[in-house]
Amino acid sequence: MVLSFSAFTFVAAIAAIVGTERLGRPLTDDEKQRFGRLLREHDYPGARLIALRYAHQLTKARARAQELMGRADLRLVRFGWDPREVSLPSRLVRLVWSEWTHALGETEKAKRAEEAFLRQHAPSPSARAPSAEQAITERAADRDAEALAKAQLGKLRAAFEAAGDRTNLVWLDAAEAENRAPELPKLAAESGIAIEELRAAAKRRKRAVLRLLATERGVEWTDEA
Amino acid sequence: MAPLSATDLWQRLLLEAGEDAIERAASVSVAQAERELAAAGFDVAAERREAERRLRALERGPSRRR
Repeated sequence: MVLSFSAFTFVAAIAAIVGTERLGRPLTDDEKQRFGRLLREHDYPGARLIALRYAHQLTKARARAQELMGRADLRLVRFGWDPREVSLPSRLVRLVWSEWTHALGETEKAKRAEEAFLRQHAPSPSARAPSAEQAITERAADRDAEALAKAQLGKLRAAFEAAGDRTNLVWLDAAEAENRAPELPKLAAESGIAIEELRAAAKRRKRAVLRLLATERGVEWTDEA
Repeated sequence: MAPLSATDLWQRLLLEAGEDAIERAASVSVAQAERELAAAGFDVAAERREAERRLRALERGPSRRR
């Protein structure tokens, strides 16, 4: 059975709150009522306090935390929520993190994949390809994201160099050279670095990324975030 | 295959860095969050009212009829 665009999005909306970004339109009155009811059933005010606490851990400032939480709230409506996949506190905390890092979250990747799927199943050939404007916009956004990511990786490399973290420099070289994150046993064999040290380096790497993000946002980094 | 793009690698590092902290943060109780927010100077009752305001705005906001 082939679903039309509207049938596809309607079926998806029954299973979860899809969000306005994926639907490509505002929520209907029925959808808004259902979204509101679902959020109340899952104690949205309480879940929001949990996410706000995390926003404050990241930003270390009340006003910034409230502003960050507000942006996460908007993202919830834009990208929706499926309670079968993740709890509401976890969803809100992830949105806070995503907003804080400006990460290209999985929902946005999923959206692009969904848009491509919908184009492929569009009723007319002309609707199956992205518009020229859409393609140009997507390519420009990809170039911007790539330039930003290269700059961030450069800063991370500089941090490893400053810390004398040879293991993470080896990991980063391997990750950039291969088409995936390096497998630790293979990297251990090739580099002569013990696998226990590679695992310990992964923890240092996480902290280095968190420290980099905090420093860029003018926040004193602590382990608790 | 093309090398891992810088974007993909950076996103992977962000996810890796955030995962543990996200799980820890999402697992605290509402009561604990309230206590910590109050200790940090937040007006918890006002934050709950803000949540209610946002819920009402969602339910009554601009819409499109199906």
